[in-house]
Amino acid sequence: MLLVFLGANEIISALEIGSFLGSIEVTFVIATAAAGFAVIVGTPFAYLLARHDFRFKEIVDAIVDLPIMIPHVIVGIMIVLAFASSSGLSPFFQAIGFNVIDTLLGAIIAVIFLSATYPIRIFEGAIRQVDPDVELTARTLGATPQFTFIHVVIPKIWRSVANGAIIAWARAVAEVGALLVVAYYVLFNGSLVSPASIYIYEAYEGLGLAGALKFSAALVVVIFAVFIVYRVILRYARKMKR
Amino acid sequence: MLELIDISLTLGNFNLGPISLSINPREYLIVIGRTGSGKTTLLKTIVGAYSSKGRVILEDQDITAEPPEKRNIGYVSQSFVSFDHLDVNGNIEFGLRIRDIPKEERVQLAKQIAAELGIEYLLNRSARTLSGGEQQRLSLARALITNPKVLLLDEPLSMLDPETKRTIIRILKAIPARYNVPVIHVTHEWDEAYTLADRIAVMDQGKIIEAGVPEKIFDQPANRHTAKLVGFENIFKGKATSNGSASEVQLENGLRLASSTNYSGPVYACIRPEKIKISNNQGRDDLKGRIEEVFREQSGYRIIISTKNFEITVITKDKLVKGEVVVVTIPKESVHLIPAM
Repeated sequence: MLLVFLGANEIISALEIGSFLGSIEVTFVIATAAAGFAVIVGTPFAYLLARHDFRFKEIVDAIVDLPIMIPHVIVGIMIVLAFASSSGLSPFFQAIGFNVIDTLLGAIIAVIFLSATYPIRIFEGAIRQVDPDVELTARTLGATPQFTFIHVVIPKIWRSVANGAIIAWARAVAEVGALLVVAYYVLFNGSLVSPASIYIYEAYEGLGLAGALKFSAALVVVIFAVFIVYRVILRYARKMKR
Repeated sequence: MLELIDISLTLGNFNLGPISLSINPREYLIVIGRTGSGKTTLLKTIVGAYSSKGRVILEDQDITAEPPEKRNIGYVSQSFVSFDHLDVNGNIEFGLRIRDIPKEERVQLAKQIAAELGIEYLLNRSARTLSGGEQQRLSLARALITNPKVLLLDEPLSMLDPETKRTIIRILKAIPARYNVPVIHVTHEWDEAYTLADRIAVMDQGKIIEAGVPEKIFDQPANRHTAKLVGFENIFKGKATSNGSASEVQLENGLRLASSTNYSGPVYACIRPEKIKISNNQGRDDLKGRIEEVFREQSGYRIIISTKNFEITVITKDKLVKGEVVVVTIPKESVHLIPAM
């Protein structure tokens, strides 16, 4: 609040700077891709964790939690090692033109990994709350496991899916550490653009506290507005369902 | 006809089976057993939720390896299951939608079965707003509309109040004939079983220990666990000696009893509490005891009497007081003997 209060006079001027708007735009693209991935891949994956026991499940569980255990710079280094070094499968990826350094793709891969833990755990908890007999009943009525998941389980946990998606989105917007290594700039709409968090970090480094304040305040206001709009839409959707 | 042949499976520390059991067309089979005896596991095995050893044969087809959606077995869960993002009509026609039945036909069939089960007025209501009895009728309608070859009911009355229970019992009783489907209903309530069953199978520790018509199971159980389950609350171990047409039983607690059952050898003497008589008069000293507890019940009073050597439970209409000394009389016709192996 202090940040917004002190920077209030300059929020509008910050939002008139094209490079800053570009950084917000690229951040939103990256974050929305992370949220979409969390929903599309994260929900079936969470279902697997919630409903099935399998060999080495503890290791898979630990990998899911890994991003919240380690400094995010390390994740950036892991991505560089995996896709853009001379070790492992990196030469193969480079040979087929799969480039992650300073690309939108690299930035998305980094934030997907770093933001996936929270939605997966949210989805998993919600799925555990669904009575397995509901699924069995659907199956006895002729529904395949896939049909049951989409038409019975998802409608029961849609609020958690919506919450998981916005948490993944927010976590992706907030990411700095891994992006410093993987995607300091990304090629976006023909020009090199920094994600918003790095843009503000650069402003702080180059212009000092006063220079970073207006961009910080502007980003907080924009994200806050996105959250409010999202909650209003969810509330409206909930009413429509009743 | 459904036939289970040597069905067995292990879930953690629990072993089910081996179980061999069959159900005839339009038969109402009750599987009765205590909590944890494996009743629900048996139903879920039949429906295909668990893979098991042995074979499940349905109308001459081996469905052992088929997933639940391919078995055409109706299932009503113990918990109230509704697809609460759908209205009642959407719930009922769920199985028809999967079968690509045209909408007009679906609506017609849903309306028809809802009327038969008395929930037509609910068709446009959200499924999440239903009472327990309405939920249960919805579950039945949803299962029956797909014309299952067998209907499995997992304790369908356990979460209902007595009045609703009576309504649902009437509906359940009519299902086999009306919908031409055999029913397997599991419960731990023996009065529910006695009311509904054409045949009863008793489960204990994952196995069917006894099966037969209700009268046989309730009056002359062949197993001590069955006797306990169906209301023989007083069971004493002893040795019977036949005297030609009846027996004399020397119990391990020191008591001697007469029984109209003709048998010699180690036995369990099983006595229903409502068959025992109580008086204040003088009688046999070894049947004289002090009332330890009195519990009020719908049918009278459940009384725990402690004698010198044993404790016995009696149900009586007489209002007696804790601490009172009484004499019990055990008619020989009410002493059922089960051979002790």
